[in-house]
Amino acid sequence: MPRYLVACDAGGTMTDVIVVDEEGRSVIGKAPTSPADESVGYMESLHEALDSMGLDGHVREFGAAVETAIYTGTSMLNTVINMSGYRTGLLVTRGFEDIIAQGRGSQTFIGAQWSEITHMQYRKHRVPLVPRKLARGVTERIDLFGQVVIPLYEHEVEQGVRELLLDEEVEAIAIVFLQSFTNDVHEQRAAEIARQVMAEVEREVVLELSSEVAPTTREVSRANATVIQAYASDPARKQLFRIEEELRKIGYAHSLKTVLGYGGVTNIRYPRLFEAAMSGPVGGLMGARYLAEVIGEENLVCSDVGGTSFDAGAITAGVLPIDREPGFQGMYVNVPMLGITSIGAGTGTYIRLDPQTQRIKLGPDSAGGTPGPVFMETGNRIPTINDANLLLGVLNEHNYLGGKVHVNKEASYEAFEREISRPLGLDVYQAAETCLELLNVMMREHLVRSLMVGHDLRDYVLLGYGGAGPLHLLGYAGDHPWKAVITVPHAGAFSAWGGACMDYSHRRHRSVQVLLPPELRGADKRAALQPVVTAWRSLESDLLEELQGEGFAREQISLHPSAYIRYYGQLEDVEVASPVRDLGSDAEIDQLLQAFEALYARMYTLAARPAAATFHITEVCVVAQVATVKPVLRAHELAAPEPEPDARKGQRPVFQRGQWQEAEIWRMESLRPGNEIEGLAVVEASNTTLFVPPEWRFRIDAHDIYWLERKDA
Amino acid sequence: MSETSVTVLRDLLKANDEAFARSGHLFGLERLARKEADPGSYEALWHILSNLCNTAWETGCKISSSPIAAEGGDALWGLHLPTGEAICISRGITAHPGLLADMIRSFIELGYEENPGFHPGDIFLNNDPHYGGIHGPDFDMAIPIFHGEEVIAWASSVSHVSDCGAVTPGSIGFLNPDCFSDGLCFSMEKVGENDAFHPWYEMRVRSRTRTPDWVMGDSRGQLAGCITIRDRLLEVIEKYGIDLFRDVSHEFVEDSRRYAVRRVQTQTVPGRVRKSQFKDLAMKGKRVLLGKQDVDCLFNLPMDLEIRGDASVHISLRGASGTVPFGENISPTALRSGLLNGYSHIIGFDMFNSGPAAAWELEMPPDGSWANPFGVDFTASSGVAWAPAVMWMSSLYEVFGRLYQCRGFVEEMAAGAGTTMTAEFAGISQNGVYVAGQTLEQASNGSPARGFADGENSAWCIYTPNADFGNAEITELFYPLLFLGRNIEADSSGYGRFRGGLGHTAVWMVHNTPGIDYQCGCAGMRSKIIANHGMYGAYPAWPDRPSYAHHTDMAERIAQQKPLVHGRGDPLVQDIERLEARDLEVDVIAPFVTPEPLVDHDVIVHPISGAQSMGDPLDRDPEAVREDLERGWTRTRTAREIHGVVFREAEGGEPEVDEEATRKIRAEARASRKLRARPFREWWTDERERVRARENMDPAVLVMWRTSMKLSPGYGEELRAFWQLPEDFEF
Repeated sequence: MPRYLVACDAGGTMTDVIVVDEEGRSVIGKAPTSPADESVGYMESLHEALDSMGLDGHVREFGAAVETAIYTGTSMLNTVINMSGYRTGLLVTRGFEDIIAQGRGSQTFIGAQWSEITHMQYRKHRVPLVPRKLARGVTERIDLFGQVVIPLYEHEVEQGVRELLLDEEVEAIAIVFLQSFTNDVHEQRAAEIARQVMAEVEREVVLELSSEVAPTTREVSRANATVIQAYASDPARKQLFRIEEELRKIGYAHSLKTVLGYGGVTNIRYPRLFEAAMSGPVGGLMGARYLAEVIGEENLVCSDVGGTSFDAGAITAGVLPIDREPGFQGMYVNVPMLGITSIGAGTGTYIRLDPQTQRIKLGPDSAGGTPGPVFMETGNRIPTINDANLLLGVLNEHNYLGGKVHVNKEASYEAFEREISRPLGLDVYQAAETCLELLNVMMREHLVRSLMVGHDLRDYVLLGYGGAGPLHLLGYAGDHPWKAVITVPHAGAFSAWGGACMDYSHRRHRSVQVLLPPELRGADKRAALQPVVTAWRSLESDLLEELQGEGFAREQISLHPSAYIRYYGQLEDVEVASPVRDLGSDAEIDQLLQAFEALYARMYTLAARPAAATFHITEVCVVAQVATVKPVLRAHELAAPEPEPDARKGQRPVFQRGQWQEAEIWRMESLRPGNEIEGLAVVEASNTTLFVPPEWRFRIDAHDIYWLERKDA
Repeated sequence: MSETSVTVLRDLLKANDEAFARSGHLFGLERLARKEADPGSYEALWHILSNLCNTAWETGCKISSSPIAAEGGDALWGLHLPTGEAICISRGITAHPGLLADMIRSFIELGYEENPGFHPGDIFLNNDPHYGGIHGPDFDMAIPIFHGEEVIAWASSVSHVSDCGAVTPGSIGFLNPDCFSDGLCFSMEKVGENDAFHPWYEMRVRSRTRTPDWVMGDSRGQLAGCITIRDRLLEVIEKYGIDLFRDVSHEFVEDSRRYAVRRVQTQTVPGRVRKSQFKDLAMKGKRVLLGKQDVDCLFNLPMDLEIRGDASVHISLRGASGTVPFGENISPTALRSGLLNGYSHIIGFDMFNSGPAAAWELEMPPDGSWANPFGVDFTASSGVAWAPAVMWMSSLYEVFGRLYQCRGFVEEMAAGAGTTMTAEFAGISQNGVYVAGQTLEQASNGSPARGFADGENSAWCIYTPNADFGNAEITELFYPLLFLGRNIEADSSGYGRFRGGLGHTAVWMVHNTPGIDYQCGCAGMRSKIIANHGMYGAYPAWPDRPSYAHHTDMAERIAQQKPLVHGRGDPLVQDIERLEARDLEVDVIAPFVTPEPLVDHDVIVHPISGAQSMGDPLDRDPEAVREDLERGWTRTRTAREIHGVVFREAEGGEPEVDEEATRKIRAEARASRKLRARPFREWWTDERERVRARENMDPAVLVMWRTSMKLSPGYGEELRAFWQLPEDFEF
């Protein structure tokens, strides 16, 4: 039996599993996500994939042949949403006991629309993971240079830990001191005392230090990250152990891997598991980067349309974007994560009219998979985007979720007529098309104005994926001058496939404060940069220790240092992949600063560089990678442009540009590399639908990638 | 522009005004034809244009230099009609779109079409309150957007710079005695062309501000954002056509006006609500600049709101008192913009633009009042300007809250926002460079109590919905301060059935500096008197009173590991009082500047307001009081004396509500109130005698009433009529 790789993407609604063989062939299985015990959804989905492969009777042989099994998903997220983590106490710099409960004002509107932000009645802090009752202040202070200004009041540490353990019976303790990322001496000493107290009272609990979990500036986000690690990592890990246990039952012999938010795979025993908290959309971006290599492109915009949201990220010059302070469940966290921005726009997005002005409002909330579109008749009476897709003939009522779900088109019609078209005085189909176009504009604008600020679209290939990506891709591609527009037949499970494309990788950040005024030269300049070099070496040493501890040889590990640089006075910095590993010479320093200036000019073309620039380095980072076996995108022999007869399913009227037009309907599974299709067309698969408007056509290349082009291009 | 088109915009302005007066619809748009014909494209364009502004925000804030713009979000970008009305705006400080709109309108009214003319690439700037600005540090910028030879729109921006070169460092010039001390002044000036600043613009910034790099960084950010809007808009027009843009952009403004009207129509009841509001400025005996400033002042901020049967809204601000010899005067333009901001929070938040400003009629404060000073006192200062005016925004919350409640929309009620004071520092930072500027503490107050729930803690700011105080570690990068505390302040929101969101208290130890001035400026805080009482029987919050200790024994205390200061502590015996200090000032009445620079180991306790509460505190759910107690957000004493809640020790030592004792003391409290109550007529008779005799009235009170009655004779007549005073009665 060949060797296999199994990757899973557990979304809020569905769990996708992709099985890839050593030749890069892949099969997808889908099952409802099972938050209470995620192993159920994982295994059900895997069995569906095996069924498709004809291996259902050979499960044990298959299990033994699996080389790597990867989980991407929501186990950590669910722990936070359900508040089912550990009872966590907080030991914090005295005077900051409210740091979790109070947070920051801006946390109350993370992800909100502007009209919601201005409407004050909507303000709401999330329920704190650490209630004030479980916070204990400790007198201490370290300043921004790492100097101890107020020594640690050790008796307060001892008393605080004792109270948390004995009176409050906590299961975990997070230690967060201000500026600890510049000097961790107080946190380390507090941890030492905490361990002594634990030994004394014979109660050991999880202990997390902010200087270890997230040693970067901004105390609120660092505290949140540390608390999430203390609160949710162990409980989430238990879910992952359950999946691993089920896989072991079918003969899988290795440890389960999971995906980190910044794009990389690690063992589920990895200590800083909170870095996997936001791994959901990561697979897509990582798959996209791999795809980019295959097609020889370095700039790619990745767009993922799901039931509830539209996620997008841009890969520039082959570099994945990193957001160092993303929002997560009403908290900012110092957790590096791939820079993915989202809006509430998907196939389940509700369509309503504003009662005051009769304006069309899309979302931002969504019917998702439950209760789902009106046509599913599971309780929702408000029309959704997928109701519009169905009414317009774009979706096949007999093929929804592979034909597994009964669809009542009449229900969609009635809802649209009642809620939208009659009040607007429009025909139902016109109204549905109007709403779809509005959705496309929202998605397009999100890409063009939010994501691509400062970038030229003509340099970028737009990739669409997600279950509904191919359905809406050409709508939001619009007539913008993308270099090219592409999708893949396995778009519905692309994120899971992407999970299989990642290297084994760990990433560590550390804040520094280095100012380089123009008058600083020679030895002084080299001395000023010493903290950067010291931090790089320290992070490299930590990472090597971690990875070697996980069984990798030194020569397998590659190290990639970078620095975050800005012009002094600005608050936004730029991640600069360092072209050098050391800064011991003027030439090396110049190389780093020149790399920054080139990148800055590229990102903010409108901003004049200050006449006499003082450079400000705020943070450094090192990524340690171990290359892993990935699925292969095989090159196939090209077939004729005309698809085989069995690929054609027939014709169906589709409402486009205000009129019904006959669209050619194709079976995706029967299309072959080399085939070419003209719009107006609908290409149907069991887990996705590609819609090709009249002004578009596509061709399939040797790697089974669909290249979509405007006919007038 | 061609010779024949030099007054096109002025003619258009006139035609628009006439059309509105004639039809009641902005631009005479009785029908929103584009919206009706193609609602999809209409929405799409709204989305696209709004995104243009947010793209400008993304670009501009990343280039801006000061922590105020980039970390605090005190900036904004907008897109305007050729005649100035805001079409849509970015996120950011929403107190400004009205100002920016009026500034562009003023360019036209001042004849700038003819001289200096409008040309592609021109950059205009204003920060002069005499011509519609708010105060020196708020730089309002606009650039015209041309399509061919025609001005088809404007892009605008505002940024709050950290220092504007006023007589005292920083940006909150409350001490300014007159406009000559307000600092660097750009009076509706063209400061650049061809998308670049004139060299002399930067030269003036460099020679006349204390933090020129930050100011120029902000200017570059503003300009970059404006250019972004312009360039992207032209792409949009190329795609959708100039006619569609022109039509929908006007319809958006009218649609927004209709939205505000419809909300009033469907969610309030007709009626009249009057709200008395006062704010003081206690300066007598403090460090001031001129002799005439050795005086306490009191501002009168009456609001009279009437919603008529046709849902028209009339707001009168007559009765405002006279000008003050400080920076607290405000121009009517700025005031109107501030009220539009307040209106957007409660009525018109759907499409934020100039539309809702046309949904009400506003009777401005009288000429010569602190809120309309220049007709009488052309040299009045507006160094801080917002300080008392934000109280009017808060009044707007309350008066509308009452009318929402009358219709049953308790979800929309708000008791009035917390407003607070700034902390501004000027001196040498920990990096050894000169700094002048604010921390972000004041940008995150409690949000008002709602008709169904408490407000949120540290989550709202009346002048910007982007309420946020950032991170302490970022503040420490800029100022020579070491945070010793930043916790929620117990009982800081007043008391009611639903309490306002709580504020917080920042505690700083001065660190790593040869010396720094601490200026506790005012932006609406309470000094001696209590403004904003809350609604429906709620009790007000206590005033924000900072404390500081100069030349302290902190070093010894640290060495001996003694308790330090991390919060305000018990208001009766505050934590800072445990320090030995050469100068220990507790509960100082703001505003003030420290008499001499603070030095290492000095300590500052700086409280930030919570918001107003709603309902009788005796009606508060005892369990909610217990939860607050558990979280340290109230005290046992408050619980008992104000909420009438008694606790007993439960198993495990936790307090639990003693229901029987609670019922008993609540009944006693209500009975006691009845005993103290008097018939209104009796109270009125006694009080009238005191008023008539001007008994026990501070000079500030007398001046306030005297000027209010003189400047607004109708208001004076009503006052005399209420108290049945002689026709010639004056205070």
